[in-house]
Amino acid sequence: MDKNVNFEKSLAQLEETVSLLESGDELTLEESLKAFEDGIRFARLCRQKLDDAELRIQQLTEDGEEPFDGLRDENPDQV
Amino acid sequence: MMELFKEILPQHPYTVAEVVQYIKDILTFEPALSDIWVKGEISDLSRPYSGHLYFKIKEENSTINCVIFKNRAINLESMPQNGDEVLIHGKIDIYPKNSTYQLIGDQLKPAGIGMMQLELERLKAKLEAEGLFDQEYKKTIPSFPKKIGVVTSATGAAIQDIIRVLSERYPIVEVLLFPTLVQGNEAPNQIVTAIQVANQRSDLDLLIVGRGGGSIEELWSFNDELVARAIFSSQIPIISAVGHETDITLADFVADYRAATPSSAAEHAVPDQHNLKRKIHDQELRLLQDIRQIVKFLRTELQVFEYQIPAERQLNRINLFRQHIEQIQLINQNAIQQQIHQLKDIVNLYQQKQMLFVKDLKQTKETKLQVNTAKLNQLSPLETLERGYSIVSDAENKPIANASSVDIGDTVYIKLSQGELTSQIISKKEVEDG
Repeated sequence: MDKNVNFEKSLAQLEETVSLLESGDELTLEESLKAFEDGIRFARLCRQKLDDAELRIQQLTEDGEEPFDGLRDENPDQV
Repeated sequence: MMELFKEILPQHPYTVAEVVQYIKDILTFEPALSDIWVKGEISDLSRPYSGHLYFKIKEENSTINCVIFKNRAINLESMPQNGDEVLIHGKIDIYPKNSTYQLIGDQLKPAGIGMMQLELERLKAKLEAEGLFDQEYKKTIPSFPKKIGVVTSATGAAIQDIIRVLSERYPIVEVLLFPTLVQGNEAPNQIVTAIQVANQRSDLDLLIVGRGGGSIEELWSFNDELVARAIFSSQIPIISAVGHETDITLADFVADYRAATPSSAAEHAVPDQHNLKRKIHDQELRLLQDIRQIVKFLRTELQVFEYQIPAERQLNRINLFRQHIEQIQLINQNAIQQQIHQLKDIVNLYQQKQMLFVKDLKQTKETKLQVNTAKLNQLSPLETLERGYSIVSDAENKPIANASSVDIGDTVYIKLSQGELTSQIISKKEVEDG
């Protein structure tokens, strides 16, 4: 599955899949199993995205974007 | 006379230092003079090389000497000028060297602050009348922002608080900081520009605009009309986060959501990953419940299928079951795994049975073939001869089937299973037609 699929979409797909599986009556056994397989995959993808994520912080300068080191300046008037 | 002097002349006169100290104590122990706001006009301002700020604060015929020491002076928002009407805060103290008292200042504000507040009220009423605060213009804050722009100081507490909260709650999100001044005369323009630059990009789905706590003057940039209008014009939803709970600025009224502090802005901006993980887990449990139903169904199917499905087609069916089971095996959950193992056992059992059946079938067919060959063989005349029958034919080797086709005395040939006989008809009995 595409690594770039965003979390929101994966979570929505997970929820849709669960609903689909639970609505149930229209599905053949094969479709149910497929839905189940998809659901498990979406759940793993979602959890993995959260576990792997590390906050990325850039700052916009005159030279463009650069990583923000986050070090705190001791200048007290810049609150 | 001497006695008079005796009375007048002190036994123990005070030293100058003692008197000065005494007066100093009286002044400095007086609470009203140690935490005091004084309003007046600045005159005789000087700032020597030391960096301290000396001036007088005067009102008609009264003056007080003032000093603001360097460490405070460098923090002043703007340098006072002679003639400025100001409010100065500090404490009264004595300079022992020439016994003058002075006000040691620690804060200095334009006296117009009251005017500023009046101006703010006027501006607020104007923007409100224009509809800038109306609910109908409030944009929805996205539930899962991908990239958040933060307009604040790069060196302040606000960005630190925001980064901390976002890392904890939803590290998936990206942050782009637009560093600006957040106080002083330059701040409003920089904030406005940052909001506009952010809106020229297409990668941001939320902005947080604000700063940490400070005095009302320090927060004043967020009461700027242009800042308020820039927030209103932003296509990107904006959460305002200015100061503390009790500080409400124009920016807060215009923003799509007003957070009390930068930390709370970050909390409002993103979902909490712990809740999300709980939600994912719940969904997974539901999936597992569903699959248990399916496994149960499969098992029932397996147990009845041999009665319903012709034996020849069972093998296909078993293979299908195998596929299903492998699909379900994707997951590691113990309870499910156990059921899967049991299902596999059943499938294996059926497969063995099925193999036996196929073998049986083959054997049966072979037996049938033998039987059929035997039946065919029965049709062969030689076979008939074996059972003791024989074939009678004439001299031309034509089989004789009717007694009327020979006469008494004719020679006929009798073919036996083993060998041949030559015979002569000595009598015959014809079958009457009829």
